Amino acid sequence: MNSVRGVRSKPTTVLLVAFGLVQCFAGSTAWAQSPLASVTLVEGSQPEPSSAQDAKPAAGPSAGEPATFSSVWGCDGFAASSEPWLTAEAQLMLKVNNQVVASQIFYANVWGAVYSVSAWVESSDDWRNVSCEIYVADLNGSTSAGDYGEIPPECGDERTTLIAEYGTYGVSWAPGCYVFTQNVPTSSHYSFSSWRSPNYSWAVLKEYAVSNVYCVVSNHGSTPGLNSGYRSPSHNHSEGGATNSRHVYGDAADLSASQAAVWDSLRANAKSGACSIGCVEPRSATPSWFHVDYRGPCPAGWELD
Amino acid sequence: MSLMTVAAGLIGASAVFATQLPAGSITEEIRSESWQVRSRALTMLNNLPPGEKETAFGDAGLQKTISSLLADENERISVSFVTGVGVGREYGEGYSEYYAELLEASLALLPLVYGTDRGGEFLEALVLGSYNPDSSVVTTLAGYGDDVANVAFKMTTAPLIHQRWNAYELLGAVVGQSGKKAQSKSSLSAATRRQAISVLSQALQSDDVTIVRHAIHALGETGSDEALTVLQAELAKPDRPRSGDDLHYRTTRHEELVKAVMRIQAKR
Repeated sequence: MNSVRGVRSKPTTVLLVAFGLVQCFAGSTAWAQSPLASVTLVEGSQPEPSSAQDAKPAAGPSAGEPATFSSVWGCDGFAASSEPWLTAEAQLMLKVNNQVVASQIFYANVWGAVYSVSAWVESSDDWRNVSCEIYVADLNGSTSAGDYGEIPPECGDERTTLIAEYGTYGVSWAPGCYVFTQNVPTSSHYSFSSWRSPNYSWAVLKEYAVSNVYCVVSNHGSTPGLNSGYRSPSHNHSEGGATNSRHVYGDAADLSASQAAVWDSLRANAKSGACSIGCVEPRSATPSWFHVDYRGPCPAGWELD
Repeated sequence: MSLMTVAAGLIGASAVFATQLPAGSITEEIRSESWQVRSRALTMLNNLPPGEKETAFGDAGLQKTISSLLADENERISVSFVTGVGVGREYGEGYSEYYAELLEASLALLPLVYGTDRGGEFLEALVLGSYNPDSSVVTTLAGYGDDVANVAFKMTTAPLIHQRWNAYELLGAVVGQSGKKAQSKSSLSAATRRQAISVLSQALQSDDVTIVRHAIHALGETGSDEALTVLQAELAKPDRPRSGDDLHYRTTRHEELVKAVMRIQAKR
């Protein structure tokens, strides 16, 4: 799976009821090394959908609109019984946001059996969880395995590419389509083109952050230049920004402040009036700018208590 | 040997490994040439469960490594500041956050190192560190009484303006905390206390408006009668006409004096 978040669990096996120790099938086939249940989640596979209800609709997406059924997700499962004289019953399921979208019940002996299910998955403007799960039981007990991933949103415009950048550059968070804006969400001394990243016409701008920067600048009296507001992950990378810079989260601003008095007054103003207190990078690290962000708990020394 | 015995042995081995891991491999990573690797190790150290953290911080090798790293990074930050570049631009934006991890680890280490041969040097490195003048770092360091005040006195003449801001705020916090025994790690002598208030009072006459404002704030933080007298005397004088750097501030000098007086009165 090529999730843009770039993080996905490995297939895991969980013994729910003890079989004793994991059994060894000495002298058997390659399956002998395998657990009694395993699964693999597959994106982009092209098998025929496993049932008529999963068939891809004839109509494709219109330009500028999200596709309706955009990707095929598959689920390959292996199951085996715990002893030669037993038959295991297995249920293989493909789930999206914990809802079963395809499933199959099959039976396996000690040598095991492999089954696959797949389904067309409707596109969405938000992230969804997808999982491939198998539950196997015989008279000795039961076991299960799961493989988990995430389906990226499809926005039908450049936001889809922008969201993909969060995975490409290893950011720990990625927004859904609806998080982006093409306007400054609240009063601001700066235009949207000043806030956004130069390489995209969309931006993540957290309203509380923009509102607090407005408060700081209003308290300050004059309007220092906004050096940096939102940065797309690629722009952030080209600027030498930290992978998880608050600028890619849309809750940070760098204001021009080469004079010590300007910096110090911005610091003082950032905690006066109705401004919420943010995190301010110490002056010793910022000789020509004032960085403020609204992440929550601040790094040591960045507080304005 | 039964399988259960093997399993018990493995659990035992993993427990030993868990306690040995922090002091060994974390120290090794903190010595890395790459600040990103050092950053990852410090984050890991700061996030260790309490028991393991104590074990890790108790390691003499780790203490020495953090202590010398803090001094080195302070120097690096100062040099980069003086050139006008800033560590964020010079080493990457994440550098400041890495330093914050180092600062957090150093503050956690301070009570263990304080009182040892390295204690004075380490405390001085912390005082000279990179932090905001109104951050919790100031509050924490202020608990070290005379020892921190003596470093702060020297720092009031530091060439970098933000170090002078920190010096004045530290002096205010040291005096303010001296009355709160629970927060003090060492005592503040009467002489040092008098000297601190005297230094802050003299700073009110500085030509640098930023120093004046930090001195006013710091006097308010002392909560002392002497500071109240100084502030009220200053308030009785006509306010200076605002010009130059003073115009960047939202409030006037008199308004700051009033706030400081009110803080002292509120503390009573």
